Amino acid sequence: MLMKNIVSSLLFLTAIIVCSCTGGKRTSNVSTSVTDLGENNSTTINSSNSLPEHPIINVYLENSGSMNGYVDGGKTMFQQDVYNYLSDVDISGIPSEMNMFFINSKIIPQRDFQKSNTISDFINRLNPNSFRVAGGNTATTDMADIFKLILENTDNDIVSIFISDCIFSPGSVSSPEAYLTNQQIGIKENFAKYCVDHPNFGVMVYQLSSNFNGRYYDYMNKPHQYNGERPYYIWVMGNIYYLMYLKDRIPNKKFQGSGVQNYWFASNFQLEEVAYSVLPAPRLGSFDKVSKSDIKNMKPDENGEFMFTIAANLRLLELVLGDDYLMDTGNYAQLINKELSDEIKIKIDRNTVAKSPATHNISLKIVKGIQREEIKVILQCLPPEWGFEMTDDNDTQLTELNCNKTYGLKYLLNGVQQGLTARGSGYYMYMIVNLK
Amino acid sequence: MLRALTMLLASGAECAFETIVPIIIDPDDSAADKTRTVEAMKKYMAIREKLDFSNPNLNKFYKTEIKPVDGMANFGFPLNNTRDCLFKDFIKVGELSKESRALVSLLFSEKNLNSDMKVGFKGNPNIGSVVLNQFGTSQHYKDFANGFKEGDRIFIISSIFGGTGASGFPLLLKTLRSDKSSQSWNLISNAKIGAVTVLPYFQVSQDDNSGVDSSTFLSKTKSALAYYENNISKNGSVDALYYIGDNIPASYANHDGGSEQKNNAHLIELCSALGILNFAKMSDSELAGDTKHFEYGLDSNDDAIHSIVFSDLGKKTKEDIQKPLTQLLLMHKYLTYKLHDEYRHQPWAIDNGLNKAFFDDDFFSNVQAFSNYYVEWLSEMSNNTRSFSPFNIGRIKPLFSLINGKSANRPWTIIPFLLKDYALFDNALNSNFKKWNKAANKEQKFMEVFYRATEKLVQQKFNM
Amino acid sequence: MDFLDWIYSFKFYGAELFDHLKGWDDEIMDYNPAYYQFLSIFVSIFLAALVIFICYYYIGNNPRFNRWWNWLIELVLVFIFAGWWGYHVVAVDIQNGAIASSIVDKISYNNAIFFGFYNAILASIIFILLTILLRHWSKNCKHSPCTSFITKMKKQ
Repeated sequence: MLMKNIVSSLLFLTAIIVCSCTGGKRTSNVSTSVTDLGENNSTTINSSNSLPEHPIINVYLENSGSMNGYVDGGKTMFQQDVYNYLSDVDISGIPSEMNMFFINSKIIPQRDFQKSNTISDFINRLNPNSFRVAGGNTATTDMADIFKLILENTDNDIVSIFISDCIFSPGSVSSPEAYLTNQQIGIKENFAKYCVDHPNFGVMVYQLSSNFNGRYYDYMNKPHQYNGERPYYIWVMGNIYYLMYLKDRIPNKKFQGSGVQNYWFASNFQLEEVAYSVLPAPRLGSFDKVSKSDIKNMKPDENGEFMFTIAANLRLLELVLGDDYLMDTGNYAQLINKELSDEIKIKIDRNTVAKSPATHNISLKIVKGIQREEIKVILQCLPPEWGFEMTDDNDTQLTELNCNKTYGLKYLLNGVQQGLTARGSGYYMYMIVNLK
Repeated sequence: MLRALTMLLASGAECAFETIVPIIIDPDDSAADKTRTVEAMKKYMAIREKLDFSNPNLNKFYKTEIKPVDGMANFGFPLNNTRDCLFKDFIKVGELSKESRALVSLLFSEKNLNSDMKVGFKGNPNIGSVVLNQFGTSQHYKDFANGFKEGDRIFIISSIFGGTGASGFPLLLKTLRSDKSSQSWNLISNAKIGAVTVLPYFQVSQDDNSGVDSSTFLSKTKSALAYYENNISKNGSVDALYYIGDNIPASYANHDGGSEQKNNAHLIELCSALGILNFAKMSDSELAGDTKHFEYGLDSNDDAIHSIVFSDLGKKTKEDIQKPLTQLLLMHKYLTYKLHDEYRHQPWAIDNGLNKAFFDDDFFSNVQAFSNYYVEWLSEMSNNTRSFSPFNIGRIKPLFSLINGKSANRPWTIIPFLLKDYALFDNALNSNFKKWNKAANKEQKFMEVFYRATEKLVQQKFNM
Repeated sequence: MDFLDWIYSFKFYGAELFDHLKGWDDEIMDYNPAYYQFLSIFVSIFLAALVIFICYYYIGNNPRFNRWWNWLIELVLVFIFAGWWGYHVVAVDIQNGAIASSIVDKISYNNAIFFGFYNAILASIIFILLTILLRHWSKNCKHSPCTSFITKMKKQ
């Protein structure tokens, strides 16, 4: 049943035409249908461009020196977890082919692997020596350039998986903060340019953890010996149709080892329609429901408070964004008559009504007087909170407090978020309720 | 008989005359029978005064007008010099010559000569025939004559065995046919004249102190009949002559007059009144030629029948009186037993403005009073010998078992057990009558609604 | 149906019960016309009032039952039937679990009682309106419970 809903949702998404960016619109010519909440009518959207059912998946493993501590001929958790993930990708039936690459200052192809045991081969051969032998600049890491390279080799029918520790290497620059800021801007620019021709582009970021034994290089590029837990990241970038499929086939719980520590999804797409409806309860005060999105005759309760609840089917967004993101009220914004407002308090709950197709209840409490107005609730594309929490400002010494953090992480994630939202609305979906 | 006629006219019995002008010739002003008859007629007039019989009104209650001759109080034709005056003083015996006195003594007994005439002639037509000679010369006769119009008819009611009636009838007839002193003498002398002469139908108890002796009734009757034969029938001075009597006489107390002479109503009087109605219906051509003689008979094989109901009457009589008498009695019962409980709630009263003020007013008082007279009259007849008791007068419920010897129809209704008796009556009163005169006064509307309702009921219940 | 929604919009019997009777369906998160009950309820009480009205004024139409308190008995009958019917409809839904999960916790038998009372008032108003408008052609009862205004106007 869930799969059926997901497939329907996925098919719907492939039919999304509107791109906030200018330029050509690409949509799938796969026959799609939209099933809205409670309605049996469908819309079929056809496009002129085709989206193959099975994309090419390229895997880019950063082979800079800072990655050496993660690899030891297949014995580390890093290797096992990555192996596990790539196997899951391969056996999901999604990719038409998978190609392995190393990446630092350039992309270094490995052999084309068609079968899963070649992934095993690839993983088992990961060691500091193979990193070094592969070539490229393994001494420093320019994240902006890396993403640029990857994006240049990503397309609508190509999904890129990037595996890295995502540590910036300012090196001996005079101002590491300026460096990081410039990196952020570069990343933003790379993603923004990519989005011009690629609507419905998304990024999934998994933060995982592995045992690390070796040298790590701090932000000044000084080496330190360290044996302990360290984070690393798997980025999956491509058309959201494939991302959703991958997310569906490989949920977080399938990650082995210590599992997914944190997760983030970002995209430049916006849902055309969200199935939602104002509920009769819970509420404070009273009102008459005119339609799914219109209410009238609003009256506050005896305490002067007025609140109403919207039930929405956010199943699709829940799949890619995760429930935590949806449940975080900080990711929503409210507009009154198209102006951002803080006069509406929002509360998110899961919808537990068995027969209801809704996944979440969004309660809106108006703290000022009730007036006839249009209330718009939007779900924004924002960098994750954990991105700030997991950012290390000074990794010259790794302790229990910062061993699971990454230097400059927030600049990376902010840059990606800014790039993705540069030309679009900046939000995934909106719901409008008219108070008449 | 005038009383019976009044009751018949009040009930709406068909009368071809538009107006009846009763003239009572009776020296006994205080006679109880006369008094109550006059009262009834006055009530009748008072009621009728408020009514309207033009289209589209259908009411026939009190339809025929009863009115006195102009100037004639209480419908009475006053006789001069009969009060506080002995007969011998009336004929001024003392002033007569010796020969005349001797003749007088041959014609009249001492008792006759010493009779006081204020209660009548006490069964002595020989006295009456002298006293009543003042007809033609009286001013009242002239008033009557002046009011007589072409087409008017005259009907004389008299008993053959009494004093006033027996003597007055031939004298009056002679005056009408031969008097030429009035302006309309020609109209009167050529007018159609009918008469009913009532043979003995009652007797009085023996009382030596009374001037009335019922043992002489028959002999007086015989001699009077012989006289009528030769002097009335043979010369055609009356156009129609009705005879009526009974061989099973009723018994009354012996009062020779005054307020004690109050005899119960009798069927004979009712049948006599029918003679008037019959006379009214007959056309001039039917009355032309020799005097027409009529007798009344019951439609019963039992000569000794004592209690007469409608079914014992002839078909013609039934057709004439059954329906109207029943209607009037129904109306009386409703007014007596139900009106004051219902008029505040029923549409027939509310829609026509018949409120407390109306029912407290004189008109309704008169109607109620007359209604009581009517029932009193019916009761007297039913208690008499022979009795005429067509109705269960005193029974309140069931309402429609009021006709003796005739059961009511039971028409099918949706809720038969709820719509009966007075509820059915109200249902009839509340009918949406067609061609209703909305501009009529309240009295007219009141009478109209009761007439139409009772007519509907008697048709529905008794197929009348 | 706006008219019926308005008639039942004085929600002292419970806003959630109003939503249920209007047809709230969790599956579509909106009012489902197939579950709309105000029409059937209203038609039932209207017909009840009409039938009792016709029985009193035109079938029974009895001159012995045209007092104001006879009319009051009819009104009470209308009141009782409509009250019972309103209660019954809701009580059956509660019993059969036919109320949407999102609002079932806010609807109890007390709401059913209040709704029955509301329905009874409504039916009484209908009966009174019928009385005012349509009794004038009743032969025996047209002035029950009070003199018909047409008659009063004619008298003026």
